[in-house]
Amino acid sequence: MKTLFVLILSSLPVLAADQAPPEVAVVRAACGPNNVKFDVTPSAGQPPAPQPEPGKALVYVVEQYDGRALNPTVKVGLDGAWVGANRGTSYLFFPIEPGEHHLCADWQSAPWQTGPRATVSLTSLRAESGGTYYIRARILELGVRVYNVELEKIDPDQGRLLVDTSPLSSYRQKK
Amino acid sequence: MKTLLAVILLSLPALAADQAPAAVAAACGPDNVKFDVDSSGRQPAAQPEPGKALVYVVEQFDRPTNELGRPTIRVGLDGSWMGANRGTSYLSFSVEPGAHHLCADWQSLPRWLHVPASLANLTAEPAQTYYLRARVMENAGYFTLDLEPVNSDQGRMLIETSPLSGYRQKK
Repeated sequence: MKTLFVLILSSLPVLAADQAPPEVAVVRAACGPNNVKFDVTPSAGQPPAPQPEPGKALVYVVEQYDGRALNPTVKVGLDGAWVGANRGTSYLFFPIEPGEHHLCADWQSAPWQTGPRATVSLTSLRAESGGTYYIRARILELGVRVYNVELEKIDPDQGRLLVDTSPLSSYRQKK
Repeated sequence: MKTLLAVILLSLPALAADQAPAAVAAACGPDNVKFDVDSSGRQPAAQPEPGKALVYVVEQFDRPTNELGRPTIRVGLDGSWMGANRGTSYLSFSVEPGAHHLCADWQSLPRWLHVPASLANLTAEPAQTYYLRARVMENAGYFTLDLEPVNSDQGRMLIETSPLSGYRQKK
């Protein structure tokens, strides 16, 4: 009976909710407004690796989700504005000015069981001119349909590997 | 027979836990010390005491659906308990500069669940603030507890969205 109950629970569709990230200063300093949404399509093929623009640094954000049940769209924020989004295993990149920056990853329309602060993750970055930085936005399944998003700086070799084995995201803001 | 075997297997870790490994003894406090915990609302952000560092420990468990969803997690430093959190909440304390051993341990857990304590090292510098997360994870009825440092942005978000723990030692 218990097994049957678990099977029934597992087969229920995952309900998504539009959960706003917590309204606290440290979140506002990194994420963009909650009402901005993106449509994301992974591009086919691997474009050549870009180089940092002169006097700037380059940041890659790679989404990593090793499950199969979902295809999470994760918005990427920089210093209080969204720069784009990934969907499932994919990546995006953008140039930044040297200096201190605050980054955000926020799961757009996350499953309702997962609380708002579990689906937003923050980190900071001190960028140097000419540097390339790799950030992973990893979706962790911590229980039955309980998820966390984790944004973390990763080793450049690991970052390069993730970028080389993931499609580039093509995104546009929803109207 | 199968049930008997399962009971024996489940009781093995509990028997082994009677003798705490040295790393646990260096970080956690005595097992017989228990805490009552109330979450006591918001507090202004603390500052490190002069010449010391400040450590925040935040409990995170995003599945608050029943009593097991509000675990009381004791926090140890260098072999003594500093306090405890219960459910989504945090505590903070000052530490001297230097190397420290921290511990998070689920208080009063049914022995059959056997969730081992989680340990973390910290090398503290004066006037610095450190954030650690004690995260409870559950999968198919099995629980794990992880104590790990988090970056300062993530740590501040967790602190600013959690109540401060009010704890006192049980007599």
